[in-house]
Amino acid sequence: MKKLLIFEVSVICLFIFSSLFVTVFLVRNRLDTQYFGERFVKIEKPFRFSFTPNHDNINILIIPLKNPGLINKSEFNLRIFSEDNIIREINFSGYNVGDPSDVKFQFEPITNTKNEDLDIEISSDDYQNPILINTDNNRPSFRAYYRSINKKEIIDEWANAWGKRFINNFAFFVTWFLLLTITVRIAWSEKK
Amino acid sequence: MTKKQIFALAAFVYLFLAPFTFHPDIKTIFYQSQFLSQGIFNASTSLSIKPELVERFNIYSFFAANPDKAFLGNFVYPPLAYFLFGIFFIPVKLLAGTGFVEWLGMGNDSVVVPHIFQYLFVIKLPAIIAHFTTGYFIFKLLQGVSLQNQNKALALWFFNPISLYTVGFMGQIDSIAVLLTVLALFLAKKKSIYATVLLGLGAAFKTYPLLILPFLAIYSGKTWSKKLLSFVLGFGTYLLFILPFITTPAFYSSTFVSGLSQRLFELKLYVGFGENILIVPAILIVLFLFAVSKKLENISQLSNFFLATLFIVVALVHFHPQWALWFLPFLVILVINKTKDSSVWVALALLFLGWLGTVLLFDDKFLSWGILAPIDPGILFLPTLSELLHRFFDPLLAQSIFHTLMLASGVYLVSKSFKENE
Repeated sequence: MKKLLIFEVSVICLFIFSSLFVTVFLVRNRLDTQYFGERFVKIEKPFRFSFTPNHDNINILIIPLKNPGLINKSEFNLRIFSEDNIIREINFSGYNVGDPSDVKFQFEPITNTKNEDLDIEISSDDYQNPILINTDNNRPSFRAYYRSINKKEIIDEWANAWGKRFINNFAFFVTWFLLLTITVRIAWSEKK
Repeated sequence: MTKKQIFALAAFVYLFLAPFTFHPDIKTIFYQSQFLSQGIFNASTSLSIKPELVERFNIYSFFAANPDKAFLGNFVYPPLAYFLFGIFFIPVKLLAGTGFVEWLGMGNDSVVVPHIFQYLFVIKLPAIIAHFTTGYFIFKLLQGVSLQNQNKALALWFFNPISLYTVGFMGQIDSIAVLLTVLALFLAKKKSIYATVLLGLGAAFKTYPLLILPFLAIYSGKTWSKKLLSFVLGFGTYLLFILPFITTPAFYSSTFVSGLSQRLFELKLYVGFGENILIVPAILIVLFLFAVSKKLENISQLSNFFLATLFIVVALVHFHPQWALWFLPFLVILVINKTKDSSVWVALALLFLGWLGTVLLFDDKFLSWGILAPIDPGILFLPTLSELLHRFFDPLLAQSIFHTLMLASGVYLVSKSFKENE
């Protein structure tokens, strides 16, 4: 029993500490904003939306796009505007868009983005076989990530994010914790 | 330490890990299997069978006809996996709560949804329950050894890297096929007909149990006609499930042209003029002839042949991590029967190390630290271990060394089992 308990505690500690190590020391790009759309709609003209980052150094956008039957192979353009000035521009091809897929746009971190509006535009030179974007009435489904290397900030953010996750999943975590307690109780009562 | 305590401690570890680790395979199979329940519910609105139901009943032709719905890939498992997970989908959806169906249809790196932990916990439950049931039957199979060794077998079954990684972390469905093979071994002595049917069912879920069916047939039939009948019964059970799909071209292209059925023929010796000697089938034939000559007399011998067959099949191909689960129960039984031989424990440790090294060096983000992505989605942007090591040395060479380590230590263990048979 003792050996098994030591092994079990070691496995769980290894899991927790390796996760913490990877998160704090290896991960550089962190989630800033995410938004979930409801349905796919055709992009038949330049598609524009905006969002306000919560952090500086935004460097990745992930946008779910759909290329029905993988037919569209034309050139596309993603532009990021700040106060109507183009600050980043990425060209991509219909070849990069699955049916559907999360398309990742990575660029040099944009400094001083915290609380500043960013406009994103996706355009094409061919709208005959339009690709689709997942959206609702407000804006499309997307995830924005920022580059962070400040360890203190990382730990604060991580703790903060986990706090929110616990609150958002409170019922699940209570049930999960109860189940774990039951297993411990069974093991303990047998020992007695 | 009692059996109950080991089960409770194992439950603690598996339930603790389940919500925080993610591999896309289990999400994909639930996404694909949901079409079964959709078809059934559509049909329930009318007494006549709607074409929609027939279409969704045959998932292979359904995806071929609706490629827009097959964006997570085709259904690559035999039909029973579709039906079983189509049924599991109903309670799983209820337990998972809002947004679950939408999440199943999202990209594979969608680990940032609000209820991700709940979804992961629930979709892994069928695999975890099957794994624990298998543990119970391994314990039962070892009735002849001391209680202490039975408990050792349980501890080894639950707390080894293969089980923890493929069931606790990944939630792989192979644990259900593994349960059926262990149940077949458990029933082989007293109810051999049920045992062959169970292997047939296992094959209708994942094809590999067909490979061990001949050994069960040899064991359970006293005369050649009975052996043949036993084989036909098991194979017939498998055929019963695949017959409705046998005229569907997409069924062949999805199930037979992927995975094990092709990889079995990869390892070969060129003998000239375009002809090759296929190593894995050759070894399997030799094993079959050994089984014929040995006259399998007890469950332990049968278990050793299951081990030898499945280990050779997995270790001599470019395997998926979860395939190691196939031979694991029989390996546990062998090790427990040889518990005083320290070389067996050393070989077992090397086998686990070889397996883990091979798996972690696959160039697949979800097989190294990507599996921790629910804890921090930023992990998905990290290079794989293989990409990282590429800067210092050839990761394929390192992976090959680990794979060889696994093969060599496994062959040593299999040879021990053959000595026991003698």
